[in-house]
Amino acid sequence: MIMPLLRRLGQTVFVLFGISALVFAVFFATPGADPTARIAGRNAAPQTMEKVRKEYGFDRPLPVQYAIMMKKLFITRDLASYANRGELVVPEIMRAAPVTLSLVSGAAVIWVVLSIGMGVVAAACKGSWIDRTLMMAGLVGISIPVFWLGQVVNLITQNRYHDTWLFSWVPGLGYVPFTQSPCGWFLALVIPWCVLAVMFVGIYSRILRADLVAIMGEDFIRTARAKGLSPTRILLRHGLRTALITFVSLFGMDFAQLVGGGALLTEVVFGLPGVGRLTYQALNSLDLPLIMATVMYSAVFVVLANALVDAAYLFLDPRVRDAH
Amino acid sequence: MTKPSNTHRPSAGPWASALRSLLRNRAALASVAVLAFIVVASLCAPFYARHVAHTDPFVSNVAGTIMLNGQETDIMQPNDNPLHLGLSPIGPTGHTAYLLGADSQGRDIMARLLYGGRNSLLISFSAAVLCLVMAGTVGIAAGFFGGVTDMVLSRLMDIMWAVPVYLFAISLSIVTITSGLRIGPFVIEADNLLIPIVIIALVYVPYAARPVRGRVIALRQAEFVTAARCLGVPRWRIVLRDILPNVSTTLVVMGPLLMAMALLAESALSFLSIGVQAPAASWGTIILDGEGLIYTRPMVAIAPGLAIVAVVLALNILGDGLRDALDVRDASRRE
Amino acid sequence: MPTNTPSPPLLDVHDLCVSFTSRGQVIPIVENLSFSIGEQEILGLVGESGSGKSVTAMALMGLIDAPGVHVSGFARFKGQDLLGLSGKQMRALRGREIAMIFQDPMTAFTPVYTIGWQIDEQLRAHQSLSRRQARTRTVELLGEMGVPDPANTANRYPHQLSGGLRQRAMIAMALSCNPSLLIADEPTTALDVTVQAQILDLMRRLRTTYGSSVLLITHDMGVVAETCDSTLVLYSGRAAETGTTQDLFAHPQHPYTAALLASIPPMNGPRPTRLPAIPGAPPQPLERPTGCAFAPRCTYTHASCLPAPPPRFARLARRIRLPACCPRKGIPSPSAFAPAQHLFCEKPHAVPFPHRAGGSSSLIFRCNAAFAGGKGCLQDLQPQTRANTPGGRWRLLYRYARRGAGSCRGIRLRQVHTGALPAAA
Repeated sequence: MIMPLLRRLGQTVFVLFGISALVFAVFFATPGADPTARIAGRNAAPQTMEKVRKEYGFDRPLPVQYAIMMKKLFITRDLASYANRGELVVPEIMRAAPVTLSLVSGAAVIWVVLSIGMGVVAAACKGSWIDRTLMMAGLVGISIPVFWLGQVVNLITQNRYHDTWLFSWVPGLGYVPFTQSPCGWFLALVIPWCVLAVMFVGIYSRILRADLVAIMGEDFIRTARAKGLSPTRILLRHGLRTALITFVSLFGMDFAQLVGGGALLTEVVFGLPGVGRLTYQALNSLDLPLIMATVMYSAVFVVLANALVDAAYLFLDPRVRDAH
Repeated sequence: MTKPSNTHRPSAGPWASALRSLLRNRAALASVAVLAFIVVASLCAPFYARHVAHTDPFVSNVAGTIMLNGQETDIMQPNDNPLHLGLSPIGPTGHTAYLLGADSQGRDIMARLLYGGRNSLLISFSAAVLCLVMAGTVGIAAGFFGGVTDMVLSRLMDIMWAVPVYLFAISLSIVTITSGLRIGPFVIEADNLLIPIVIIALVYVPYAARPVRGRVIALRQAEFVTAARCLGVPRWRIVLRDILPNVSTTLVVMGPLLMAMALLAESALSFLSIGVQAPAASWGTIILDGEGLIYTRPMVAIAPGLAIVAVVLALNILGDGLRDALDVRDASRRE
Repeated sequence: MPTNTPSPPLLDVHDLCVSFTSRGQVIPIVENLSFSIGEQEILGLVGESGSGKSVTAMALMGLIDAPGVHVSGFARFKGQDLLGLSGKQMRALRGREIAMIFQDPMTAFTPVYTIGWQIDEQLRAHQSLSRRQARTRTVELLGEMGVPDPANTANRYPHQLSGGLRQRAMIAMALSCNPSLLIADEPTTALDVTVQAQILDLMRRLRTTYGSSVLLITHDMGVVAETCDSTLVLYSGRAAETGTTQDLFAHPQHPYTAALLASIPPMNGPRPTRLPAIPGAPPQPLERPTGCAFAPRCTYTHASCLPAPPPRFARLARRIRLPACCPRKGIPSPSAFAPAQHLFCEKPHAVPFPHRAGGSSSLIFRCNAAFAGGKGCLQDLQPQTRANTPGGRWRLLYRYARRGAGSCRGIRLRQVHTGALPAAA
């Protein structure tokens, strides 16, 4: 049990290093303009440029620059934004993280519950109109750009039908911290949750249905039927339980990517001050240090989450447990 | 002993039989029809703008007027609020000119929609093709040559995989959009469509390369490849004649799905104003233009969104149909 | 072996037909199959892959629920018609009264649960047992099946066990509710030979220790000879021959049975350099001839084989052997078989094949005069598998091994000409 864990740890560290190198390369080694200008922002004064060049070591070789950057990001955490009057970047991200986490967690609950329901029902009614309807709904969900859906939903709930009984409870755009008012937090997030979940419900219900249909053709399902078990028990205890292995691993990946900033578009449309919106604001002000920090932090988060998913795999699939 | 009969007719190949089963799939046929319609309509954009709508969708036209029912009407109209403060662009007119209304710069939305379609479709199609070429190369190289090549490429894919797709695309875009790209003597300006194409293709390479690599590894152990190796067939020839044709079904099935993903990515990047650069249009930029008008003139944002949904849905259905027809199970099913 | 028990058989299958509809065509899989199994009897169901063995078992278990599949006939089991039961009644019977063992123990267990969990599950589905009681019984069962350290094995996952252990666990699970009928679908195919013998031994003992009857499905004549009281040979969805195993092996009545027996390497006597093969392949379900399904591949075909409806025999009086192949004057039928020299006439004879394209071509056989005795006769000719090619000249090799006679005899036929059917035929 120790060796595989160590090997996994080694892999994780390697991927972390690789990602940081990749992100560093994207931001500072892309052929084109001087990275100093990128960091300093638009129309920076020559003094600022000089200061930036010194601070980031742009007059020194690339490995040194990389080391300086990593130190500023993870050790001293004093990476400062130039576009935003020297605001420290890392604490800013930390402040925004709970918002993103709230958004993504709620959406995850919705999408897991709905997609398991849809996938199981569709697989149980394989070939019927219920199956076809659910799967087509899933496909439509996958095909809608989330930022557009958010706008349309806003149009309906905030404007056109806001005065009807159906949507009069919807608060204005923005975020209410949970500690301030749990109820307000819930109301403010419920629509963004649903909008963010739509695409994932589509993806996951389709994947789960396909997996379930494949699994229901397996020998062990035939055995379960020959044992005289009820169809429901066969579908849930034998079919779904086996299908969940893939489901969970995908879920881990997507959840991590969303927490790491993948929910950017939803946050922008609903005015939620999360990590994604921070990135968006940085885009508008061309605040490169901030963008780089968010990308780096999200990548780190994804890698750690992947390691967690692998651990979950060990619990879910006894075959993997012994494979090491 | 009889000689093998000369009248032996080859049975239908995988492509022919796949085509036949695709032709039986009504949903896939309908999606092809929808795609064809949208592509043709987009191709007709200059014709529409010049000869039907008589507008220039790339020039701000805030002070302009159009003739509606014999009346000269301002494109920017006073707001509906009691004090008539501020101006809103004209809404859907129901006439050939400004069919879907104008945006905040007084430009014809319908014409922009068609021009935007050209960009969106061109970018997503080229990105999908480029991505397939890159992913095919990487996947085949990693899968066929194995060893160090595989290790390096696979780790690289792992690393790229760990960065959220949109963040990766945003990082690449922001760096190139600010100052263009300068590779030796070649300069690619920031508003060149190549930039979003290459970026989108690049970020989806890991998604497409993994299934290809898996397929190639399975093929490498297939007996006909072993036989070819034993016969001393050069490796490049094995790749071209034995591996590539067998991987091509996987690639073809991934094509429409990748294009759907690329279209969504392109519209997202454009929506974040780091994709297609003004004054050029794409469906994403039109949605961005419509953001501020969402409560007063929702059609500006709704129309391009519907176009995106229609194309992506059609591509997804087509991809599903292709997957069933070619019986490929491992093609990327992700986002 | 209950050869003349007056009591009604445990399972009496009558006219079982399974077919499915595809694009408007009804494709028959199993046609008019009738057989019965007595108390504590082991019946072997033999046939090559695709002959409908497993489909028969699945139909009896009520496990066929694919859309478009139609099952008809009767299967009387303890006074109930299995084919007419509702889903719920069938479920109560499955696992409790009729249990099934599958071919590949690797894939037949759900991979994410322990063996013990899965046996407990079956026990608790049919009996009101507490978790602990069920586990006690499970461990007991595993022990009886010869699983070493049953308490620990119960807590292991399927992939952690060897094939033999898994199959033992599978049998333990099948027997957990003391079923009166056990259907074993190729239980030894996926195992290696030594384990195979152990498992067969275990199955033979079941009827005394558990009082179960067994329907043993296999394609291995050796397994049948070792294990079964009686045997039913299936060919292309139809019964070819049935009878007690002893009779059937000693005096096969149907050329197909004979050919299957011939495909077993002889234990003594000269070692053939090449085992005889039956030329051609079984017909696709849709292309089955109206007469005997084996006729296109049979060397003994004669007129009465062809237009007749599929041979039905051994209805309820299974133990009275009905001829599977009706002999015709002048042409030896494999039942009478015996003096193989019958075939060694120099005069060619015509055999009509009306089901072939064109309706009238003939095969003319000439026996090879060079054939002298049983020795060394099989070396120089090869069976041509292109036997189904109409109009081709092909050689057909056929060998008939007679068990009990102590030696093998070979019969070699050579088709030298095909052409228009003589008017007389």
